[in-house]
Amino acid sequence: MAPDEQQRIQSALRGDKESFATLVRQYQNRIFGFIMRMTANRDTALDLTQETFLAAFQHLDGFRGDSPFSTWLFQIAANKTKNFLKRSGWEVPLAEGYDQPSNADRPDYNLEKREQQRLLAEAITILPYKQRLTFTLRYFEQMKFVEIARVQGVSISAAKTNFAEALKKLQSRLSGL
Amino acid sequence: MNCEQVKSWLTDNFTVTGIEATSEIAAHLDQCADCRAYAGELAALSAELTPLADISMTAIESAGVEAALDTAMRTMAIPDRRSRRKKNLFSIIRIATAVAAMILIVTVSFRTNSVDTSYPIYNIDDFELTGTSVQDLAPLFVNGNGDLLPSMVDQQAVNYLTDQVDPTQAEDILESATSEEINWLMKNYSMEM
Repeated sequence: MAPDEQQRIQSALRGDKESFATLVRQYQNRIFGFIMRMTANRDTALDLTQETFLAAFQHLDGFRGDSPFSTWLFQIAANKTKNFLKRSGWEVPLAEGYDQPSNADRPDYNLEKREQQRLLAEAITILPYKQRLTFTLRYFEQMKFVEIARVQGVSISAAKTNFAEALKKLQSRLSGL
Repeated sequence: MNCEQVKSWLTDNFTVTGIEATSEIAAHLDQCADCRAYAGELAALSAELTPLADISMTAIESAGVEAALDTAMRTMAIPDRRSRRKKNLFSIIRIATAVAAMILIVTVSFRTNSVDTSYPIYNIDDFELTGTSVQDLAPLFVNGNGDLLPSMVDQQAVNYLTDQVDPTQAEDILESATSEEINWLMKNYSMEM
């Protein structure tokens, strides 16, 4: 863990909320991106990002520092996401609200690209939960398998198998897009 | 390295930033058309996934999340580890009492029914026999960091619990668990005792 990050965590534990706010700013886009890819819904991702950081704040004293802070955050985000999906009966509104608002004004962002993004998001969100989680953490977040295994509570070989399976499915679904 | 190992390596190292082949992998790819084709397929998939690589909040969304967090955080304090430890001590005593009661119940059940060796089924309410609520039992299985206690070393237990546990909401775990799930947990925990 970077020394300044450790210092921020220690400061936050002593009650310095600004230090925690700095940690939020540092990780919020990664957490948001992760939840977006898992749920394909922008509003849900915003809500769950907020819930993730709030839970992290409430349980900060439980962070022991034996794994990177980011892994701990992703673990919380993954559980928030899982709970949300469980509540929704594992159904995600396919790619609804996936559109990035900042893209709307871009001249190169046409309907075709929007449709392509929707299909991509759909291909990921219809992966079984564990494969989706593993793929998102490994491919997009470049998390090490040992950390993914920690987030999921599975063995490293199981994490690798989930990733390979997800990859195979995506390859077959996306060929021809 | 053979083709299977090379493909496995390529798969394991496939991330959004691309694959940086080692000299050994690169040498194999130079000579093997099949593996080269596989590397090409991964590169094509990576290109297709590009639109999903760059996802971020807008400035307005980001400010909204920060403001909401700020408001929420004003009403709460970061828990003090020392006071939590003290509180945990009392919880542990209560939990130990509950576990002792459970073991007693299990032992009695086994002795009174020697034919049926399956684990007896209990209702959630059984956990209140000692005055300890179901929520109080949750820390038996996870600590505040969401990790399993050392007693739950069995991989099957780890997998099972990971499917059930939200590290930030340990109290909700057993509340929503079925009596059968709780029995399973208690059985494994008791065996460790």
